[in-house]
Amino acid sequence: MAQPLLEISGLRTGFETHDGTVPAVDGVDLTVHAGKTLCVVGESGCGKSVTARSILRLVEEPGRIEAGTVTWHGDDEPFDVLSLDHDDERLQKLRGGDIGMIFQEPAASLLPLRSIGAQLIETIRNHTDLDKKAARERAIDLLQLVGIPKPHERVDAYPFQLSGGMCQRAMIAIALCADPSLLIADEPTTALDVTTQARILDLMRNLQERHHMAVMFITHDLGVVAELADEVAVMYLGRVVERAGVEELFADPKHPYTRALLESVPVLGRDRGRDLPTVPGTVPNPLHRPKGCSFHPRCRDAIAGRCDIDEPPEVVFDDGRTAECVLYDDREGAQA
Amino acid sequence: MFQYLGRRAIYMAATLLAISLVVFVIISLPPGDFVTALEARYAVQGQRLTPEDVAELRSRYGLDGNLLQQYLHWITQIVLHGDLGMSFEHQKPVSEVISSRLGATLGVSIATLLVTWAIAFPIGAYSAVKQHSIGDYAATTIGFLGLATPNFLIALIFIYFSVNWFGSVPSGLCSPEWCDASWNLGKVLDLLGHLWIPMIVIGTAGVAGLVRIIRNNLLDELRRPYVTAARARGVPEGRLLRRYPLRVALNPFVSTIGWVLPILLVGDIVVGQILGLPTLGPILLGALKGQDMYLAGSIIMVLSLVTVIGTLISDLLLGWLDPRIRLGYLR
Repeated sequence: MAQPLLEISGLRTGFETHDGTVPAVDGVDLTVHAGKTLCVVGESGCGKSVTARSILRLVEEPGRIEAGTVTWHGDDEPFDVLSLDHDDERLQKLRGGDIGMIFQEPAASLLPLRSIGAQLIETIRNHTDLDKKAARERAIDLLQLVGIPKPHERVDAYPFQLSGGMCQRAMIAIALCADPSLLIADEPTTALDVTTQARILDLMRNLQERHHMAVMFITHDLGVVAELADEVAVMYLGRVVERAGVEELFADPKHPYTRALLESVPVLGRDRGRDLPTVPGTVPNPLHRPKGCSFHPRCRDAIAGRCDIDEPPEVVFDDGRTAECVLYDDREGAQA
Repeated sequence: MFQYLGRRAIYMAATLLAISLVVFVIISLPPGDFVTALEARYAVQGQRLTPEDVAELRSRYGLDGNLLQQYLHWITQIVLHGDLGMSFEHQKPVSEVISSRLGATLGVSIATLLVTWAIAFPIGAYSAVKQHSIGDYAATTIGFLGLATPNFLIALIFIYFSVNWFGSVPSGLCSPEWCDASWNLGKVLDLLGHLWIPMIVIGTAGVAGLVRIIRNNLLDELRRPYVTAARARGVPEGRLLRRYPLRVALNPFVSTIGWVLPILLVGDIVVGQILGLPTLGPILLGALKGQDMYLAGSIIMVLSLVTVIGTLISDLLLGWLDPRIRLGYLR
């Protein structure tokens, strides 16, 4: 098994509202291994993005990280990101230095008033000691690397002059500027059309191979998961309900939620002329999470008198994959 | 660029021409004219003007003929000779009446504008960054009070306290002993000693309004994805605030120049009257009351000109600040 690079443990992030604290992330454990891709998948509102933002402490008011640790193993000495001071140098170095991050809306994530080159050079100079001229050279190289045509001209272009795909490439270039060991991608292709999406995914895969980066990829698209992931974490209502290698997950989903998700993916040919299976119901409001297993009202296999009363146990299978479900409780330790 | 400026200049001229027509018509709307007012005044003194005298006065002042003829006479004099006409009231050319006060007016306005900005900008930014803090609530409360209190009331309060405490009324922009003196350090100090009163009185509402504009803009901008993204790449907080959301929040700020300038220029008419400021405001008021139409029309035209120029300045500044505007027009 590869070295752990980032370990999230017991992470809880809540949002203060008038009706009480909404636990968006409710005890998440995740590990990203060096050089590997972890895909975090789940429906809207399950806490994927908040988890990703909590890593670099980007959660904004009224959100607050309430508990947990985020241990970074990328430096000589592992440290907990969440217990650093706000002005700790290690936090500044982590942000944009060791960890690059890209976002869902590339055009909105760039300041419209400054050229992409200016924003790129700013980040390069923040994290390296290149002078202005060298930083500009590096910026042009990076734009070339992420496949922006005519980087010499585009370096002075403003975000609104570029398409969404080009903006996302620019964002990736900014994320890569200090050779990070981890790239966090928060639904980077959701706002892009399908062809552009495929190109961006190709680009990310190439870059990962070339730079031996780890990638934490947040998505709700199982097709993307199948294409990119080494490991998958399935989230539901602020918790990781299943963790597995990508092949195991697709071949043999354990958690009823994962199964329902996989069934709802359309298959060419098979689904002709019939309704697409869906996960019944909607994600409940985290303020009023169901008692017991939070998925039980939507679960086909729910056991009355058990799932609606007790918190489901986290079952660890032999090969290290886990599922948070009572169905496997009796077979704990059995061959998956 | 020059083409753009040329186009703007033509638009400006057309706008001013349209304004001049409207202004002239409105000023002429009240029944009677300056000669009627003059007649009444003579009547009070027991003198009666014969109809011949009246007709002679009318033709001397250019008040004979219909409205259109009067307007054409007025506007051609302005455009062709730069002649704003005579002020009946002051018995002087309008340009002299205005120019003697323009310096003081511009001085007070620009000083007030700069001070307003210098105070409003940091308070607004602080208020947004530390939203829901005690400082924010204090600034918001004082801001609302400042907006809600009419300027003339603040002026009256000032006068009340200065009479009670210092036994004198702050009036005008200079003490009598300095007013006719040539410029030297003493006069400048004396001016500063007087200037702060109209500045506070006129500036309070301006500061309060601007604080709210900046606070709201900045609050909008602070929640944008680009702020999170910039933080995620390790831009230090202070620089992040200055280079990212503050720069965007500056836009609406700059676009207020167009309408803030003329407001400052009239000063507040009522405030000017109360504090006895040698600005255009009190003159405009007097001219309107006395049907001194050329003077009133000219002052309003000067204000319109300043508005149009202010708008041009703010448009140019916006283009310089925001590439979306600059490049949008180039495309």
